[in-house]
Amino acid sequence: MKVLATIWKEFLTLRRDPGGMALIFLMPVLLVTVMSLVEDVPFRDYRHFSFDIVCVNDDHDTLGDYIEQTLASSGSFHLVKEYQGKPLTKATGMDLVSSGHYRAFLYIPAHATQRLNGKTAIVVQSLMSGFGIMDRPERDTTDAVEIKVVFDPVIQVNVKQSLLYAIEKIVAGAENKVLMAKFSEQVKKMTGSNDTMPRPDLSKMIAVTSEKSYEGFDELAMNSVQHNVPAWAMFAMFFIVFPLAGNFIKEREDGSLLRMRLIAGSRFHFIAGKYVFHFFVCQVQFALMLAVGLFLLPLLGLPRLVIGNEVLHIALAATCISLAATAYGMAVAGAFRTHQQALTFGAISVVLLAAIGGVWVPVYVLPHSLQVASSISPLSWGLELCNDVFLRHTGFRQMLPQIGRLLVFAAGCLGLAYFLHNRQNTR
Amino acid sequence: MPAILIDKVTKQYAGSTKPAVRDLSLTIARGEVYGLLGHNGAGKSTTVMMICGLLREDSGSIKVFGDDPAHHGPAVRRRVGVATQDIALFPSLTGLENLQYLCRMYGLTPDHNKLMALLERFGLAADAGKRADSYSGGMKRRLNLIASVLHDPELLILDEPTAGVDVQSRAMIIAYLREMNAKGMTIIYSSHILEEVEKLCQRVGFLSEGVLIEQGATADLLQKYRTDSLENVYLTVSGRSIDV
Repeated sequence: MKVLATIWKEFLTLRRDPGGMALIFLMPVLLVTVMSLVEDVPFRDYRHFSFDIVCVNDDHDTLGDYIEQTLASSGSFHLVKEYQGKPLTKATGMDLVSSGHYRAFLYIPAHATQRLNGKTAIVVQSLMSGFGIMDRPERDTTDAVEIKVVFDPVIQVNVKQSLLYAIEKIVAGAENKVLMAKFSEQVKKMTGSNDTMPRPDLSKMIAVTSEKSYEGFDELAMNSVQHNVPAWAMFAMFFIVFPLAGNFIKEREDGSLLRMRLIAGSRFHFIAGKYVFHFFVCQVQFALMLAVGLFLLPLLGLPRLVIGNEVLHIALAATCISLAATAYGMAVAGAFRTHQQALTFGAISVVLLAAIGGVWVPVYVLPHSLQVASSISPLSWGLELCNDVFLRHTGFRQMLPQIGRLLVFAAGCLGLAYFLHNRQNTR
Repeated sequence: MPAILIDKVTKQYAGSTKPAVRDLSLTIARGEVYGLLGHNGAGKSTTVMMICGLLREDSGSIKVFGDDPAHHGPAVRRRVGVATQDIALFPSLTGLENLQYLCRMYGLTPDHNKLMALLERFGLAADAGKRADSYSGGMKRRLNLIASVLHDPELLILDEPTAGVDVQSRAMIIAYLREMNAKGMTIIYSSHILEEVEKLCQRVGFLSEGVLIEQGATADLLQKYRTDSLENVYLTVSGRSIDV
């Protein structure tokens, strides 16, 4: 009854505090929405992204046309061939990139096909001469056919590398095609055959495929929503330290806690009531954040959060994270004497634990030292637990390590809180 | 059996160079109103905390209604009400909600009629539904006093119950304390307003630097020091005035 009375008292206190309500519920919703939108671009799947690339083809022959057609048909690039109604030249194309109007410029020089054919003929003759079928060709002293790609300095390194890789892959394909054609031509000449030689499909020789490491979901990939919703949910839940420790210390400062000590047998119930109430606040925060990912973010054009089908596992994860977050708040409340000390420490410590815990960026992209440090962050354990349930679709047994860490952390914090509160009471 | 029996009690806080209370001996009879006076830091709060069992004495012994509060703190606190100098209420709850919540924490079922009667007695019934943080200083003091007597304590300890309150509130508080004393309640009263102490308390004790430097019946002390005010008695025995 005393615990329930305290829960009701805490509920009334929070309900009548619009600032506190906003801090606990509205700010996390805004945070997760804004962060998901902001981080959508770095997380975006570039298969469906069309990148503008200025293209000048002075070759006007097979190689240039092949590169142009392959780039355009890939769906990843949009070729800019003219500017303000005028066809582009090498100089104007360069200007468009150096002035920052476009991020990349592809230049295919004149006679590229002709020079590639000449080089290919030498390669084929060289191969044939190895079998004594043809004379050994003279040494090729001409320069390589140079396809030039110019980048705007502000372009992201990963985008630049993706673009270069795509162009190199197309050029390699063109080389293969020309080489095979030239080889076929030489063989026909030597055999006197008029039949068309079958063209082998080199792309079918080696296939690289990806497989899911989980079952039950289709087309699932880490995206901004999938990272940010659980990550900022962790942050908001651990930020319970702010209202919890603040409220606790304020009550200690204004004497309310002393009154509880003076009422026989009420102190434990008072503290337990606070813990249980803030535990439920964390649960509501978690549910609210999931609702944002499931219903609000899709309305803003972002992917829908995938949470899997295991409701019990989700509830278990939320419970463990809430227990840990609330216990941390209790420990901070017990460790400091003043409002300012507790709030400053609480806020900074949660930000630090979030930073090393992979809230801002996933842990796997952090430097090695921070990856090691992340193993001590309860936010990292919580985030991994969410990924286990939402994405990996693991069973209870696989969840146990993270659950264990969170529960041990919660028990440790509660033990510390009990010791610290007792020490302050009996000094 | 006296309400309170303190025998040669000393208490020194960790890290402090001198005791907060030193060799204190004090007896307060049941039904007595005792004035515990002293400047800030004289040892009054430490004494009250030890009486309630929230602090343990280093040496000596304390008995409250025959129980040792250090070992039977909850049993003692069930019989003791304390109105602290701080307004120990929950500001976002209404006056009535504060009392209902505290009743539940005392393990009592809130009796709406009884609570409203108490609020009425202190002139707060009309404001029972208003948040405590909207109350004036005097109203908060009155509510704070009600909160201390919800469990009908046999001993009531009041620390500056009339500090910063209006004349009307002070009169209500004093009248209530007289009424409760007449019904047998033992009261320890600490205040800087020595006129109130003179009128209300049968005996007073002066604490200075943790030592009980003088105590006795109010009338006897006035006669002994040939003065008409307790303030002059205090000035004479301690060499300083009671500062707030």
